[in-house]
Amino acid sequence: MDTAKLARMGNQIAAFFRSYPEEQAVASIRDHVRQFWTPKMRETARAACERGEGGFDPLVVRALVERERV
Amino acid sequence: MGLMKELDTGTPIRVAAQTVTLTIDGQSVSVPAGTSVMAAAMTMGTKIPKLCATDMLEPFGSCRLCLVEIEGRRGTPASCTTPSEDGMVVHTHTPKLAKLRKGVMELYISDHPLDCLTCASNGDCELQDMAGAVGLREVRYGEGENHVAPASDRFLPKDTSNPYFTYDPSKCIVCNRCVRACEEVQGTFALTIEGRGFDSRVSPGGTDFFGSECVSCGACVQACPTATLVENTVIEKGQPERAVVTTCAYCGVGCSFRAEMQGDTLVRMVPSKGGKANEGHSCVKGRFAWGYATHKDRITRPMVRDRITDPWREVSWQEALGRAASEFRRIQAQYGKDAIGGITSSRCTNEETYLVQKLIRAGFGNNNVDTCARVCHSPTGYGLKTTFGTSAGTQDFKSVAKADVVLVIGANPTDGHPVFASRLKKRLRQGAKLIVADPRRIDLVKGPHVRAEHHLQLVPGTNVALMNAIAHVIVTEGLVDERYVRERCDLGDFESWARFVAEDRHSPEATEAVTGVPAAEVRAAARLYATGGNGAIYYGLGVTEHSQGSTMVMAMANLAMATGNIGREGVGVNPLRGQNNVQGSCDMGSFPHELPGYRHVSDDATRESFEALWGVTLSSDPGMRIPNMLDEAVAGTFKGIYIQGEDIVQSDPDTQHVVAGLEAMECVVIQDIFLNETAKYAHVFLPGSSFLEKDGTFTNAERRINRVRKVMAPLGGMADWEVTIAFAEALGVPMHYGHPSEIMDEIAALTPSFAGVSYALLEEKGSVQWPCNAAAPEGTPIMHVDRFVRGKGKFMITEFVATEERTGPRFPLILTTGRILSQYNVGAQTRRTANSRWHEEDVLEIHPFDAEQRGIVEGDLVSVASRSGDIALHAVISERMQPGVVYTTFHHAKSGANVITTEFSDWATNCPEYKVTAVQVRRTNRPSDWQLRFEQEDEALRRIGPALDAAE
Ligand code: SF4
Ligand code: SF4
Ligand code: SF4
Ligand code: FES
Repeated sequence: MDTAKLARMGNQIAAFFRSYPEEQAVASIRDHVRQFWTPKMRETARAACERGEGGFDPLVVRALVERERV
Repeated sequence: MGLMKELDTGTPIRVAAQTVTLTIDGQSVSVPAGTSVMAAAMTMGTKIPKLCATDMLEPFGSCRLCLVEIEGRRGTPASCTTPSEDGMVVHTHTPKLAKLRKGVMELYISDHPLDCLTCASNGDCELQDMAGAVGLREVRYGEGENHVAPASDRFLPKDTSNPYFTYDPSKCIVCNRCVRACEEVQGTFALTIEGRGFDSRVSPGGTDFFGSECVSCGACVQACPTATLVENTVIEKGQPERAVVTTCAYCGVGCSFRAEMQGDTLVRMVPSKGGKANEGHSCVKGRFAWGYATHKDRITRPMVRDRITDPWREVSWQEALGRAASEFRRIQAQYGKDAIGGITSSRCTNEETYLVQKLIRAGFGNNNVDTCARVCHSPTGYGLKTTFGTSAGTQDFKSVAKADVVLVIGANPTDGHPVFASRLKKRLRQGAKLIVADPRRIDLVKGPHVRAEHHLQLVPGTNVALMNAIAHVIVTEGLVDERYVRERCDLGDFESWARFVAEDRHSPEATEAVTGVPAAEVRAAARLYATGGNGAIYYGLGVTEHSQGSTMVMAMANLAMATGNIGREGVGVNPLRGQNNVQGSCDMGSFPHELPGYRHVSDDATRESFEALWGVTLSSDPGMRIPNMLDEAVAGTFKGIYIQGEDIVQSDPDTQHVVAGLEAMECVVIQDIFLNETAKYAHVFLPGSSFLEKDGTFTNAERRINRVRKVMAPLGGMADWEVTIAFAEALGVPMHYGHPSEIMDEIAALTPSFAGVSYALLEEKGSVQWPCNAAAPEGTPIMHVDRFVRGKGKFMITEFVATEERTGPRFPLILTTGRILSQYNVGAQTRRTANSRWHEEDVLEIHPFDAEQRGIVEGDLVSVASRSGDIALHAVISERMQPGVVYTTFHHAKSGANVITTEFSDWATNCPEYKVTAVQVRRTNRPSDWQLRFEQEDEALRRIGPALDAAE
């Protein structure tokens, strides 16, 4: 699945949770992606975020990349 | 079941706390106060002769056949209009009464043709029965003024304009039942009695039935005691000899019907009074449009082909299933376990859906299962689960009878959910207030004896902004039900939400520019909803099919919680679900992230319970949704799909992308009753069965589990559930079920909200609403009564985010899509019935202003172009739309409405944004290129070759 599409989906999710305090938003986005995206989609998106590619919203980047650290 | 006639008590048995006791023919009987003497007599088995009374209608008192004598009262009052009273002493049969009744009957019969032996209603005629009951032996009036003799100047010819029933005025006894049925039950007011006295005649508004306001619901036909209004199938085939109660397979209302049969031939479908969803009413689809089930286009033999350009080859079940199984196994070996998946059907039964998802999860070994609810109500599941804790509507349909203010948002019940609409209109005629939020002036806005207090005619795509504005008024004007919120909801979330909607930018004045709805109108509507008594929200696809569909569902839930409108009769948040079993298919675990009962695949305890019973290890990762499957197919990593009873090429957005995905697959297996659009891209075709050919259950929009009962053998030899079992076996995953009831037992064993459901219980109760378990052994009509399923109700912040689909100079108009009464969804069924006479093609509705600017006049062929593609339709000039918005339906494959819809979708569920597409409209003189190609391929990709192997 191409990165641009994943970025659009991720950014749409971020647009919803942006109304919440940042930590809560990041956690909610992470939870949403974990619940509904296939592992492959998550991996592709995370790799792109780590490379700084794809135009992902900073909230999505945090949600996907930081997950690895916790 | 099996009973040929349902009991008719003549007038409704009232619902009352008090009972009264009276004596009828020496026997004492107690009935609820307000119940008529006629109905009281009926409860003890005494049938007082009657003609103008029937218990679906209020008493009328015109035929004078039901006279009784009451001690201490003068004269002979009509028992249908006389309420029972304590201590009354009634005599239903006396010599005086007998004489009077005979006189009445004699008059009726003197103006009635005496052709009983050749009459369609012979054996099912109340006039005939009454003549027998009163002992009529002679008619003393000679030939005189009459309506019977064709030579008489009062004679009127038959009206056969309606394709489903015939009106023969010569047989009419002017009992008014049809007129009242059309008013009281259906709410259309299409019929009147024209003329006075001996001249009076039933008339569909002075024209013929087809040309009238009549919506062909059939209520008048049921109500008619004679052969004046009678089904054409009865004229053709004669009287049925047995009846089987089953459930309509069209829409999410889930009406119960008596399938009236001669052997295994269906004679007519009559709505069942015992059906709790419909209580004896129906619409044209369920009542009459069932002819598709035995249409000649039905495919009844399995077929295979190597390439989609090859003609189909009819083969044995064994060969077809073997081919599908070996291809799927080959694909998995070659491309990996995740390279295949499947789609369950919202038209099939719960049991069938359950089996398909089981096959995929346990047999394919992945969670790549999705369903067509993806494209309609997936946001409902997400939004209501987040806020309330359950993925379903909160009320039963009956609840609307207690509503004081009804808010209808993005739904067109008179067309989409007609039987619910009739209930709603009945309540509105009693004085409940109506608010409609819809870009289009739907029929409810102004109809016979129904008028919306407020029509919030918003710009498509601005639902959330409108809801926030309503919430703003409720919060800032102090209309919040604080006690309710304090007791029932999470306060922290409530406070953040209240602060959010109270911001000035959400005020009706500030949002007017976005929504197009005058601020004063929004304020008035908000006040009415918050303070008008029981407030009930009903919504449809106009809410969900948006990029903010899930947000909108949560916004409505917020509103209901803030005003305390959840948890009792007359209130609630209610999705009007599209297909008959869309609720059930979601309940049964058709989504890639959820096992049956809405439990996430990553939940270890749930997964383990399934693993233990199924004896396999299940994946804990969510699988692919339909759009993901198609994307992966185009990318070359998804190669095979098993689709039961869905037509994604026609129903899913961006047709060309769907087709590209299917064309990239190596094995597409379709199970359907027709060679549908998707089957053009298939390699294996497995014949499906209609709802008449199998046992099972459907779950309607009120969570009601209704039985579907088999009345004829499957035309293809196997019911859909049997086909899935055979396919599973071919894949080496044996499943052992002898009857769908055993599948339901497994569902109940594994799903807490279904724990109490069994076929035995359904047999006993007729139907039951989930949750049904130890805590609610009889089911749950109304949810969240004392507490929300999730504990505390959760307010969610619902920021309005405009869709990325914008109008601009190239595409200045907004196209929105919808449906109409006589056609259903992709039209595969209704197009194969006479319903098409009401809707022969999809047309484009355009406002006179936009039309004039483009030089378009009524009937012109116009091209409708979006960023995705273009199609040509005929234009209808209509002021139902606001300037700048055009409208069409998607019932006909050849118009290709989804060629122009885009791939934008709901942020949470990927439900496609059907309701907003930027388009340009101009006159044209030819079909679009896509349509031309469609015509060619329609032939080319559907060819069926000669059977090579004649042995079946
Ligand atoms: S079919 Fe329904 S709408 Fe038509 S006249 Fe009869 S009751 Fe009225
Ligand atoms: S058409 Fe039938 S129901 Fe209507 S008035 Fe005549 S007899 Fe009665
Ligand atoms: S309202 Fe729906 S369920 Fe009822 S008869 Fe019509 S289509 Fe069937
Ligand atoms: S049935 Fe009572 S007056 Fe007709």
